[in-house]
Amino acid sequence: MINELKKEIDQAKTTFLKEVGEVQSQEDFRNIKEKYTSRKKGILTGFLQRLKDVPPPDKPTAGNAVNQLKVLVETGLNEAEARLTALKATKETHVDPTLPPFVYPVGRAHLLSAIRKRAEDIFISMGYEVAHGYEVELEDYNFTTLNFPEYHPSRDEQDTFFIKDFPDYLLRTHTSPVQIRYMKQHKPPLKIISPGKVFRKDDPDATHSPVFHQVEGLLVDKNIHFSHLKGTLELFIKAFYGENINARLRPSYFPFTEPSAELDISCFMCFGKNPLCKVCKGTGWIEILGCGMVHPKVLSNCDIDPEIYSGFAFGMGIERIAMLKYEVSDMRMMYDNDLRFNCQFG
Amino acid sequence: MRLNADYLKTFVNIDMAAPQLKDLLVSVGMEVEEVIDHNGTPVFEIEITPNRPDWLSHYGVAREIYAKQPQLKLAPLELYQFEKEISREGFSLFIEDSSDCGRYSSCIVRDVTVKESSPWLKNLMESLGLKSINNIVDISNITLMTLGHPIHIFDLDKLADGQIIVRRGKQGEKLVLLDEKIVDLTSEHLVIADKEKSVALAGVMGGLETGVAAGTKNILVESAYFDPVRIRKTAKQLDLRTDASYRFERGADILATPAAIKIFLHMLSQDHGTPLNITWYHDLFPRTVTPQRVTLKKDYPSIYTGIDIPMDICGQVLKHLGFKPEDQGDQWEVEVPSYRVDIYGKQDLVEEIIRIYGYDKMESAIPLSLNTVVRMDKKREFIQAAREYLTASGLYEVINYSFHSPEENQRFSAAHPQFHSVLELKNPIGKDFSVMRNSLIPGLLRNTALNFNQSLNRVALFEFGRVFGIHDNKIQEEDYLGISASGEYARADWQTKKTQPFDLYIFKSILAALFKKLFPEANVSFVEKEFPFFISGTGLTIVLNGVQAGYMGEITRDILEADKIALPVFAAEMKLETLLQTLKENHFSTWNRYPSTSRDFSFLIDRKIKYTQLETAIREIKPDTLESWELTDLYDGKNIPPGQVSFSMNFAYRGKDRTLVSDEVNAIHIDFTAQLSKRLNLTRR
Repeated sequence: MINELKKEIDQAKTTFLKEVGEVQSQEDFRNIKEKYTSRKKGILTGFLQRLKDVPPPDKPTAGNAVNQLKVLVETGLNEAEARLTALKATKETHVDPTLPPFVYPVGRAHLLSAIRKRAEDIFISMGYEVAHGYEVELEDYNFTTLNFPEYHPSRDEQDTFFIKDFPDYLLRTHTSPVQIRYMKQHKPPLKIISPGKVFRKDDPDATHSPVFHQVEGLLVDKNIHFSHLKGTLELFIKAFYGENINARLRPSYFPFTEPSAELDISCFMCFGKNPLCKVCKGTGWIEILGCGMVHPKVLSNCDIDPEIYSGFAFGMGIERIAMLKYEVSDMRMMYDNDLRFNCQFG
Repeated sequence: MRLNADYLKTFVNIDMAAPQLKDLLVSVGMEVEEVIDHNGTPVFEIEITPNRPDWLSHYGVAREIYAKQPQLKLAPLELYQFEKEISREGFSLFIEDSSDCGRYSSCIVRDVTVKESSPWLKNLMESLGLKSINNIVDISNITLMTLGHPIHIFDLDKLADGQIIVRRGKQGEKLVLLDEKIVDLTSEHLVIADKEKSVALAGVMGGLETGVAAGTKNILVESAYFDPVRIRKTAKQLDLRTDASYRFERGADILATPAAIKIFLHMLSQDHGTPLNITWYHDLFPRTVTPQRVTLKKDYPSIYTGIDIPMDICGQVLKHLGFKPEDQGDQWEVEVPSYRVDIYGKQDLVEEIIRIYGYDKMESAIPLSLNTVVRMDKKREFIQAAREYLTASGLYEVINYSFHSPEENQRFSAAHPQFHSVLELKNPIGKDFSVMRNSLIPGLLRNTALNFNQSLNRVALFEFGRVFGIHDNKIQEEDYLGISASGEYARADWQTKKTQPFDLYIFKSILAALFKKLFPEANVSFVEKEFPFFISGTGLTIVLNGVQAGYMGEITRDILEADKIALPVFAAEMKLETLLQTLKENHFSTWNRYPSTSRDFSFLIDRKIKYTQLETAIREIKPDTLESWELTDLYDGKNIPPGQVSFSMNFAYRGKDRTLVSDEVNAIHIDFTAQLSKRLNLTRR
């Protein structure tokens, strides 16, 4: 008798597991709950009643088997109920992960800041220190100390803003006075860049701005020669524009360097292959910066002996570099701060 | 300057197409702006750097081409040969000060014919962008274009009494120039005068009255050397720029004055087809001129360039350029030609050598120099960190001109009381740009207006830049960070369905988060303060560790109307130097491991009591275990008695050395809130 009962209980377990797994609705759930746990007609009640007829020695075994079934039924029903609740929640909330994201506001650095940082980072990685100075400068440091003689036409190349009531001052036309101040305060070897705002009295148009930015550099040490200048600038332009870009030097003139040069880079747009290229105008070369060996008079003006030390200096306009790199057609866009422009860079 | 390739060929026998010639000119240092086709002849528009006045002529350029390609032949200049000794009698020259005029060469030609220029002359003039006047004037201009030395032609019969005087202008003296402009002369101006009056502005422009005209019969030719500084002062002061002044102020060739006259005379005799009737010639040369000499060690060009340039090539290049290098064993004593006014030192000679040897032969080397101290740029690091935070918070960086209108500065004069007055430009580009900005906010407002006009809904901006002013009669410049926000903070989306505009609290929160990010340990507070440019009751001073670092608030309607902005704008400005001083290294600190328990407290408070007063009271009476507090709700709608507002706050308690049990926290909280209520007369809700 006990074996028969155990067999029936096992049968009931298998049936329950199958049936509870198939529960899809509250109705299914109510039905199965009724079928197994109803106090009057439930399957569990039926087994408990039959326990009375089991002979005493087999009672513990039989009771244990019924209890196992009871635990199984309770657990199974709980799980089914939870499953139904979860199912209900899912059906009531509409989830579509392909809905568009919300517009999360994103800001950007100004194009000029981004270009300037990139140039600075390259020189910092080469061991240059960043030096700063005044935007309202002494005329002496902006011109005379830099070997621009008074009443010399070389001053015309840099149309200058002067300050009312302060005849010795002007708005710096380049960041070179930073180098003058640095050289007067430090002894070689020295290796600096001087980035910043500069001012020239030009009316704003597509290629001119009364305010613009430069990054200038200076290295002074013993035995520095012209090839060091070329090598250094080549490192810079390859880091900035790419390793396949080449540089060439052309003779030029700046009062504070001798010899002086313009540095052209091979056209990064057409590599000299497009005679109609807008960036290099078909020449294959783009004028990018001015440079040269520091004029001995500039060194001696800063109490550095030009018979012992020599050095090189270079300077580039950030606006020009940015305009060439991104084919920006009008310099004024950089100062309008129309966010349709500013949102494209940085 | 314009360069006619055909005319150039009369001086050096170049045989190359325009592109090759252009490359050659560029390789020695000229900028070729444009190559123009003039009736089949290539004409080069070239830009000459101010150190090379000797290039401002066809012969000067020819000399340079010859130096670069010495296999070519440099033709000698065709000079007029005087047939006999010419008289110095009958006319006199007088130079008042030889430092103003170092040399004055002059001659008289009688019985000249003034007529329309020949087709050849006209064509040459036109190709060089010059207007043909008559044969005499045109030839004098071509003389300038040939040798680069300016000459001037007077109508002899209009000069009084057989005398030319080079002197300074006299106060009250007037001169009518060739362009009919009347100038009031002063002692700063150098003039050419006859016995009675000034007849020309020396080295700049001739006078109208004594110029060559249709009826001119006899002429006086002037070829002089004037002091560059004097000519520049004269031309600048009178705002005149002529071909002559352009050359004189850069430095003319003092030894070229007779040659210039003889080129003119040669061309004039060719033009007339008959011998010239030259009745007087005088070369007055009061200044002594010694040639410039520079010593150059023979190995220096290689040392200074870093490439090996054979010494014999260095010597040859110098010779081809017209220098006279005297061999002195291991060095040269180099005599500089008189037309090279730019050569003073050995570095100048190195440039000459490599210009001709070829900048393209330069090699690349990396200097091994290192700074002995590595200094990091703290300001740069700070700016970058702030820029990263602000852009990630949805703000755009802008860069504005450093110029303002006086009105813009006036509106923000209270921003920086350290500036006693405004820094004004002497020569601004316009009235709207006539003073140096004293604040970054006007620029941000301009940008805000522009972007709202372009139909943008959200304009949140920042700028790093310098502001200027005068403090105790000294110029001051300081770096600031300006921030502004206007329009939509969060736009309506399909979930929230509601647009949230920027307001004072959101703006303050952006600043508070900036400080939290950049100054994790600083004590930041916002203290109420009135500013004339902020709506009353919205202004706050930003205080970092007890130091005023900036201010924020809502811009007044008046100012916004001036910029035609309809929406509220919130703005702040902070001084970078002060922020940097507050910046300190972070410290590690361990944290309390016992659990924290919080309790809510809702109460009515008198509207007049500001939140900052409530916080002060909390700080003063708070129990040790009160760790932090938060305002969780603010309500002043229905059911709130007039003059009051309802606050809900959450207070978090934590034991320093043990876990607090619930009853303990209750007791502490009840005691604390009772004290607080009593102190500020709060009503528990």
